[in-house]
Amino acid sequence: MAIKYKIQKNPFDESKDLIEKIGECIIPRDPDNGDYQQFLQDAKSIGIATCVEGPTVGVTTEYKEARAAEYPPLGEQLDKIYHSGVDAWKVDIKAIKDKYPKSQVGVTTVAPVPSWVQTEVDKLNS
Amino acid sequence: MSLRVTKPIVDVAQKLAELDRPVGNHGSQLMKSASGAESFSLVGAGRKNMIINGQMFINQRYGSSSYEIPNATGGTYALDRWAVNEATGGTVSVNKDGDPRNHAVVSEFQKAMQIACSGSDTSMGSTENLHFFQNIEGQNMSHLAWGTSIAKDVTLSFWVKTNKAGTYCVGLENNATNRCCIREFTHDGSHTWQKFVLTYPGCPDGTWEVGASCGIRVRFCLASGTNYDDGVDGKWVSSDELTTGNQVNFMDSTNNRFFITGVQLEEGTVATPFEHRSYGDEMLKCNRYYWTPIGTLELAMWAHGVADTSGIRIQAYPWPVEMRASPSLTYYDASSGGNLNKVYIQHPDKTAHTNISVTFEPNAQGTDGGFKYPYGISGFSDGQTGLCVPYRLTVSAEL
Repeated sequence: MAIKYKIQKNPFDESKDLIEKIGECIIPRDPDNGDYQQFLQDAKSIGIATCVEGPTVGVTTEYKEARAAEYPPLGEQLDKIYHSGVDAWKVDIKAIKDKYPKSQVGVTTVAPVPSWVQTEVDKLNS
Repeated sequence: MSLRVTKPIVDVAQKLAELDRPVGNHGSQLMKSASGAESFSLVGAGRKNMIINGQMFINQRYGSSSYEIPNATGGTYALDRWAVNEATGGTVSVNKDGDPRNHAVVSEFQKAMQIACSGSDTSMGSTENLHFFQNIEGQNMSHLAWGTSIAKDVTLSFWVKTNKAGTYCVGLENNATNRCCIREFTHDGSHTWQKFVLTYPGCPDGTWEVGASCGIRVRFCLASGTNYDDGVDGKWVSSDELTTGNQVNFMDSTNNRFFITGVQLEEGTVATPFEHRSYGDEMLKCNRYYWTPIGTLELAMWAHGVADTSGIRIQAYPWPVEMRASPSLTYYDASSGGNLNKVYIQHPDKTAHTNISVTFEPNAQGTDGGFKYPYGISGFSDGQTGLCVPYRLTVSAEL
């Protein structure tokens, strides 16, 4: 059984955490919401460890993506070369390359499933 | 001494004429009614139809397009407020159809829901079934006093056109699925519009939700296996049933078509004329359960320098009406294709960023509106503004 749900953490108010039903929708923690009711039922019947993933707390982007996102637009780069020369342009570009070395790989850090999920599932059992 | 006696003048001829005045049966009942409340009930005035989109003219999800229902239990919404449970070996597609306008008897309705068998299943397995249903919110049926000794009868009326002759079953059920009453109707398969009126006794026991949960589930069955065929016509049973055992198998041929419109569920034992509500009224009723903007929702966002949530705020957006519950959302980062449940962000430098994950925070209780704070967005400095676009947003609080 693949993961069906992923928690989206609200850093300031746990009661406002959201649940992403993978490939379907974003679900609020509202006992009257039908998708939320189904989430708890699935967590109970399938098992939290099997079908729920904790929130993503950190993402390290692979160096290629990180560099590409930070390079100035092409027009700005050409402008820089025209006005300041190739060496000045190289300095700017090297700074970005040094910031994101090729050794940087993409890593996603996932936190444990928050305890409220187990608490709510336990309420179903009681 | 004289005594003067007067008597009221009675025009005997006039009185006799009044006796001959045609008042009709209903008129006689009205004249005999003992109270204003009784007269009101006899007239059948006021908001009475507990079904929403009974005239089948609102389809926010698919417009006039045909939609193939995925094989799944639990129901998939097609036309607003109407879900289809397709759990057979075949397939069906659903669309909002303009057929009623071509037939005088149903020309008061613009549209009908058409269910077409697109893949047949000639033999239903025991748990297989095809039915469509509407969940009526408890708050909208609490006046029926079901679950008590004074439970009121209800009447369901509707028009059907089909080329598949046979007996069909329509059930009313509680949310706990342990009280159910089935009524049968038979269509001759002539592919003509025919009106059916089914009266159900009020249910005197069981648990009936009267809050924001499902109060009554109205289920029209088109095919069913033997696991759900223990219903008794016109009687309440304490189990989850779809049929009486006389149900025809609509799924036995890909030629089969089923049209329905003018669905009305009202208190009492009489089917009064269909309550035509305005399109705007009906749309707002639907919006309590589902909403999607016609165009693209472009939300302003700005960095406000407060030490929370990376300092980003986003334009709050109210739903058209208070929703039944805090809704589930879907959105994309592009107007077509794109990544599900990701947003498009335009940064202050006008650069476009897609595939952005954000955690939205609902407004207040979430039933009033959405998008208060987005968590997980970077690239903004204090005072800068940008744009957040959740393309093809859907907002759902269905029962």
